[in-house]
Amino acid sequence: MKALIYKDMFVLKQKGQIFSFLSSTIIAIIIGLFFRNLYGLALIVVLSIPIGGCGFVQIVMEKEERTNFDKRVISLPVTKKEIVLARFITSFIFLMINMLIALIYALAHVYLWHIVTLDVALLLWVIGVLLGFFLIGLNSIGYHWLGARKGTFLYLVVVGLSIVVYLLIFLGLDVEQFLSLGSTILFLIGCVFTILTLFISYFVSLKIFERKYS
Amino acid sequence: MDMILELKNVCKSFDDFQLKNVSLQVPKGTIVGLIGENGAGKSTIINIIEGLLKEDSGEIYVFHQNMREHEKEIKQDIGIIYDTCHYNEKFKVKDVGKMLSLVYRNWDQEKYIEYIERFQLPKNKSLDKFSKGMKMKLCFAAELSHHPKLLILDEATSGLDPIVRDEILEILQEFIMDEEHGILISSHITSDLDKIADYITFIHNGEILLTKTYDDIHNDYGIIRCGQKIFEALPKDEIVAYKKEEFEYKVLVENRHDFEKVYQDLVIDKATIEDIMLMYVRGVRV
Repeated sequence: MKALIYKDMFVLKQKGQIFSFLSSTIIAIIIGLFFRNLYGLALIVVLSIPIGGCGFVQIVMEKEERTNFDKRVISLPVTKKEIVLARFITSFIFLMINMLIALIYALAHVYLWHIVTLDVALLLWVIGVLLGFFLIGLNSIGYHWLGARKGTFLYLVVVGLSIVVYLLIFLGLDVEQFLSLGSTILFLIGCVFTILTLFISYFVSLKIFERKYS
Repeated sequence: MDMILELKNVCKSFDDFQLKNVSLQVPKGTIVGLIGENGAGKSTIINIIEGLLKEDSGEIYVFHQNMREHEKEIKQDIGIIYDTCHYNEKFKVKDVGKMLSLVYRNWDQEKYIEYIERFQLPKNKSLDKFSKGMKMKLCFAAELSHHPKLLILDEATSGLDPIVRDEILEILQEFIMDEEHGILISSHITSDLDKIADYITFIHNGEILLTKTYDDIHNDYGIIRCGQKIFEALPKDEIVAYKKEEFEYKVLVENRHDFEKVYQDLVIDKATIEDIMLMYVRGVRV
């Protein structure tokens, strides 16, 4: 499985790909600097960076589709389960690199600009991580089902829905009240929901992948 | 005979094509050539062996182990080369080596570099700067460097120039020399198989029509060219296939020497693999 992760991570070694990989995060942070308040932080850490961070695997898959690399991968001594799992792990790595930057940005709101408390910053960051994982789960089904190109449409639909949810939660509701639900409860609800999504997504993706090659 | 690969009654159905009861064997120390026209089912067989497709019924044994039960383990000892190179176009020689070293426990980096140097492949260029021949050489270098026991080639020599092809065929012969390895090679370039194949398996419309040693084919099969009168006098039960051409009949027989004894005036040429393939596909089978 290490080989599969290596070939996925290889994309970052290519000229300009690191910039492309981090571009959405960098742009989001630059825009966010003009909105230094709780809503701005939430927009960047909870929405923009997770959405951008979990979409990069699409570039990897598209490059593989171009050379029909699946054919080669299946002939390697790896199981189909490992192939699908490796894609999830790569997506997690891509997301977490972006979320690390998001964490630094969130901490800057605590210690540099004194806009939010550490609790709130961490809670928003964790929500961002969970949303990223959730999106990875949904994207994986889209990419395995429709391929990297068409699967992007599903990704865009999810992005659209996420924006609507953001607007409803952060603009329609009182954020302070939402966050006062208690970070532990929010964290637990988010964790259960995300883990369930990832599990379902893994098995659905595996089923799709197995059916594709049966 | 000790078999390195064995397919037993493998069937696979698609909407418009069927692989019917395919049984195929690759004995140790031999090269088996799988021939047939495009769409005959050669690649389907190979795709089933490697797991890209799943058989509807039948069994596949590699190194006497059931392929479906021990797929991951068995694939450590199989090398598969296709007609195109499927690695990331931005990979360099060392990236391919690095990736494969992480997956094959018998990966031999020294051997890999040895092949890269033997094939004179550039080490610092990405694959998108390689010619088709260079890419195929890289695939051969990569697959031979994890010490596989079974090599499967799916039209792997088809896009190569004659010089590279000859070099590759030489390597394949070296590969089986120790009698512990085997090769299944699917190709429609029958001249390649004339040079290296020990067995020929001919597939047509998803059905194996013939499996013979190359020597048997070479010695026994013959092509008779004759006029209508002689054709009508020939015993039909001893004709494999015939084709009516503009001025003559072309007849494929599988007991050339018997015919030569009886019809001493007839000119009977040795049949090549290509002749057999053409007669089976385009001729009338009796």
